[in-house]
Amino acid sequence: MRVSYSWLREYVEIDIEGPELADQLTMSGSEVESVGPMGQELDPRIIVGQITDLRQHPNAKLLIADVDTGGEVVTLVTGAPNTAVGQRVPVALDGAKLPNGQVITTVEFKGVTSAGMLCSEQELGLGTDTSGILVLPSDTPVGIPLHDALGLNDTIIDLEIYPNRPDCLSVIGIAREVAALTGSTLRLPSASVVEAGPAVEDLTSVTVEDPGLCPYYSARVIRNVKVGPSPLWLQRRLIAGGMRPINNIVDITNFVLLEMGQPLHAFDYDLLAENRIIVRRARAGESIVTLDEETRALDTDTLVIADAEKPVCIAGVMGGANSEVTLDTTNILLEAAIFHGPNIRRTSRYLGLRSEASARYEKGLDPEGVRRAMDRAAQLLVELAGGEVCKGVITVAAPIPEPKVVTLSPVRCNKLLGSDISKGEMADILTSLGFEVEDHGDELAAKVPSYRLDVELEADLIEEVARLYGYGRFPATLPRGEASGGESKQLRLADQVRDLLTGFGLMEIISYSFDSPKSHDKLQLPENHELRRAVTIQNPLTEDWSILRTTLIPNLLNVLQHNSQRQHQDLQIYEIGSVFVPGQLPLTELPEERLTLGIALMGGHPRQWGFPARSVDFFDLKGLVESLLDGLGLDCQWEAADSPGFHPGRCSLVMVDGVKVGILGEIHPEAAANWDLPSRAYAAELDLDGIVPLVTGRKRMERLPRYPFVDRDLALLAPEEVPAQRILEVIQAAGADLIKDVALFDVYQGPQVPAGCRSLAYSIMYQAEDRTLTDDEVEAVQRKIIDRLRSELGITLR
Amino acid sequence: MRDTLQKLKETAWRRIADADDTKELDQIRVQYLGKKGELTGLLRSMGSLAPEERPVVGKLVNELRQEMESLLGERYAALEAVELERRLAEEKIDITLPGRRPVRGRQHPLTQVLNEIKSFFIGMGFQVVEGPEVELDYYNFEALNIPPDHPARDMQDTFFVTGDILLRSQTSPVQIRIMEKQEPPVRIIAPGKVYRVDLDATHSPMFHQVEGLLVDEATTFGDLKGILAAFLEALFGKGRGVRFRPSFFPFTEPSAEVDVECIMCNGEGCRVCSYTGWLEILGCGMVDPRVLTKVGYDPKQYQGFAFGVGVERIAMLKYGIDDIRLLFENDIRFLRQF
Repeated sequence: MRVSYSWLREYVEIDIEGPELADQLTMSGSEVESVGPMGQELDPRIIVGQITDLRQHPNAKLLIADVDTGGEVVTLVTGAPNTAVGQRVPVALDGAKLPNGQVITTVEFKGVTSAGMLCSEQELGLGTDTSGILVLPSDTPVGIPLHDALGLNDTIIDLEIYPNRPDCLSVIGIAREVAALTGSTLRLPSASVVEAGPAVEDLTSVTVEDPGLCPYYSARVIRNVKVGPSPLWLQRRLIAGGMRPINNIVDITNFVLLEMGQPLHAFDYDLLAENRIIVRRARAGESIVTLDEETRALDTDTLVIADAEKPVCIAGVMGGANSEVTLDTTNILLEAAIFHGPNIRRTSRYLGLRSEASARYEKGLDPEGVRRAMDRAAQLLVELAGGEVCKGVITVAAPIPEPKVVTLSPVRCNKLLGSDISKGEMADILTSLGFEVEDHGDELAAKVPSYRLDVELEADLIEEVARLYGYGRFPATLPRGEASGGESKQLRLADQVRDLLTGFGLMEIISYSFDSPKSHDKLQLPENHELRRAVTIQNPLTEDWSILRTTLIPNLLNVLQHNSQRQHQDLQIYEIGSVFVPGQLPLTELPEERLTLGIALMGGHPRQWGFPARSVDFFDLKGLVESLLDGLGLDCQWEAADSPGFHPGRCSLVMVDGVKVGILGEIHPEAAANWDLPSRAYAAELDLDGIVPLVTGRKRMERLPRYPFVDRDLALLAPEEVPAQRILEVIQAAGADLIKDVALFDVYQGPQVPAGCRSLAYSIMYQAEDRTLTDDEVEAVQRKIIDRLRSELGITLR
Repeated sequence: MRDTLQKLKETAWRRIADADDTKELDQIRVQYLGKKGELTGLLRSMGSLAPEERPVVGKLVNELRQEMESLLGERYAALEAVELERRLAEEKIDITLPGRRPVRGRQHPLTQVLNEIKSFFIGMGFQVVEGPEVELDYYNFEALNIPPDHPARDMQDTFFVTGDILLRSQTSPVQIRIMEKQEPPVRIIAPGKVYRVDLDATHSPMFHQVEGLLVDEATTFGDLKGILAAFLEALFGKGRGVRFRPSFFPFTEPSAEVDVECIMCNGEGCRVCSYTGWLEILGCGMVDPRVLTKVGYDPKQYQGFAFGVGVERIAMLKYGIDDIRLLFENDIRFLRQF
């Protein structure tokens, strides 16, 4: 809401400067977004002139104009198509600097000297119109700087009005707040109409078919108006309020809208079929061309103002071109109404059309204010357009409800605020805001002004007291009572995972929960794969973010891609976030949200001197996951898998206690190519919600060994199809409880190893709890291991 | 015999003095004092001497032996010191070669800020809870006193999944879910992702909020001021101005917006604070009695406050991040800085 300082002062005495007023408004709940001069400073050599003569340029398709600049007449050349003798126009004289930096000088146009320039709205930085020169109202004083004539030396305060305070969407509404803040008195403008001519009932009728959507409709008829430009003062007010002057009739309705907050609409009375008004829902298939020249298809939830035949206005949103006031209009029907706010909001969103009117209707209007606004406009139509106001107003409205009375207990107020405000001060605050307050001993009874639609409960009064008392004056204390803070098991697990993975050198990423169905294609998921069943957003920002992710992997790959395209190809990243698993589709209930961990690796380990360069591979990722689960106190098992998106020979399920908790593997080379990845990529996805119940967090100390251990190496030659896991199992089974640890320290396949075989080297650690092991004991176990490896797996010693 | 000893001594003494290293000394020791050494040989050959001469010569040989041992020891120590010095000199390294660093991972800056927020409120006795990101209209709006087609819905442009299922536009629905399940006192914070149809340098379609709620029988607006002032002090440091000004949220009344003195210009006025000297940092208020009634709390008995903090906003201010999209682009060059 833009409010001009000078306009505000018409209704309330203000003896503080704009910035201080702005600060007081902000601190009492009318947030000031900006305070500043109304327009940029215009060069004083841009003045108001009057065209006294116009003639054709002898040598060009241009006009020569004589312009009175306040005593002196200058001659200049113009190309503007909309000039006419008698017009008052902006003239940039020799030396004047336009807002765009251009300096106007005296020049010669094909033999005619031009001593300045007539300016368009756009050249003056006042708007975007370039179609011709800016024509000023005929009462604009000639010879004075344009800056002063347009009132650009005013201060504009731009306020953010919260949706609960529609009464502040007007200059008078703000003036009311200012009066309450500063203790000065509000002066309301007069709205007295001199009626003449026939009774309105003889000229028109109003039928409201849907009173639920239109609780208040009133109409006046004003005859014999003279349509033309508004006087300068009125245009200045509209410009200050951010509206464009159009003609005196429309300008008056807009002026009252800004002044009082009540939208009004003027119809050309003679263009209304049967000169009457029907307020009804639009019929299926109906459409209307609105004032902005757009054709709007209407649905049956749209309320329209119609004449006997057709819609002439989308109620509360925008008028129709078919009943628009034009220069030919002589009689008008003036509408002042209240429409059902939620319906106006719905229509405005449905049509994608917001207006100053709809913004006010949707938040609610003061029923007491409708008639005052109607009469204020009628009065101005008489004064400024020479109209004749017909007798009476047609009003179709439910009775205006009795004023609400809300009680306030000063004790409860202070208990909520933690304050010590006296009952008297509370009463004074409410009175200053227009409440009529009665003291009932323990309680104050406040009669709510009709424009305060938001006040219903005691809490609403407490808020009024608090904001005018000043939030800054309440003491800052701390809540009493004992409470112990903490986190859920799930959040603690997530924190623990983050700490572990960060410790392993990974970077945490956070990506959008959105995904694209295209990601599923890129992963080459089969047609009916379960990951393709995703929650779809009705109004996505883009197709790329149109579903909720069912897997973290696409976004991880997006991040690998983003960085590799920026010369960073060695990446180790992870994300913790929810995936969304729908039940029935379309959704009938909320989807399951599963907290998930995604990890992705690509490229090489960091190159450092003293270490050979090495690319990451499957086993780096596997080891990472093993260490992670170990950090959570879990042992995991591995089970080869063939899952879409992964390399079929390099993919494994991650199992804990027989439960599948995740999957990991090399990204399928075709998927990697779909993401333009420069090298092999590896990804893991773990279901943290599934892991939470498996984590016990229990830890018990084990007594330290008292006897030394014995290390033995074992170099084996194994058929390549024998999985390492099997070998390990056999070693452990054969070694019984003397084996403390088995570590594989070398895997080799190559020239020195027979084809179809690989060489595996293990280091086995033997230790007993009750004695020092003898060489003979260890040798016996080693032999047993070797025998079983040979007999069960066909493995020989190397 | 005496002459032989004297000669041997002279030769040995000279050789010990001339020895270059400990290895040579070891050889000398073996040559004279070893099992087959010259001095040992002399002792052994004493049988050929006259009996009366034997003790005299034996004593001489033993004296010489002791003298040689001690001389060898001294010389040994001296040479060892020289050798150590030489080794140390040879082992000098270029300490300016880079160290081999373990890779240091990073937590996302939003996680870091979130952790700071969590730890403050856990310390203040708040439980950290969560709620669903895909929500029912009822929890996201209606129960929070925002009926359908209420203008307050325009404050949050919402992603919809169906007519009444949406992506939560705020963490406030968690308030309702907790109060429905739990009797007062309630003291929780609820961090999480929220979604709005918006995308530019200061708006992201997904961002993070932390909701706070404290309801009991006595918590006041003054307590709200106190706890948030302490929170902002923990976040931005002591001595920074904080102001509470009236605002509007449908589910709190009275409502407040909390501003901190601009951390870029310390209140002088700059581009970041739009020359106001203040930065809007969070919204809060006393829980609206209509909301308490909806969850079955008696507003005459219970009262309390709620607040909502934007995590991105705080991260951006704390770290001087000028475009919110950087937080979700996950450029490694960006993430590495935190």
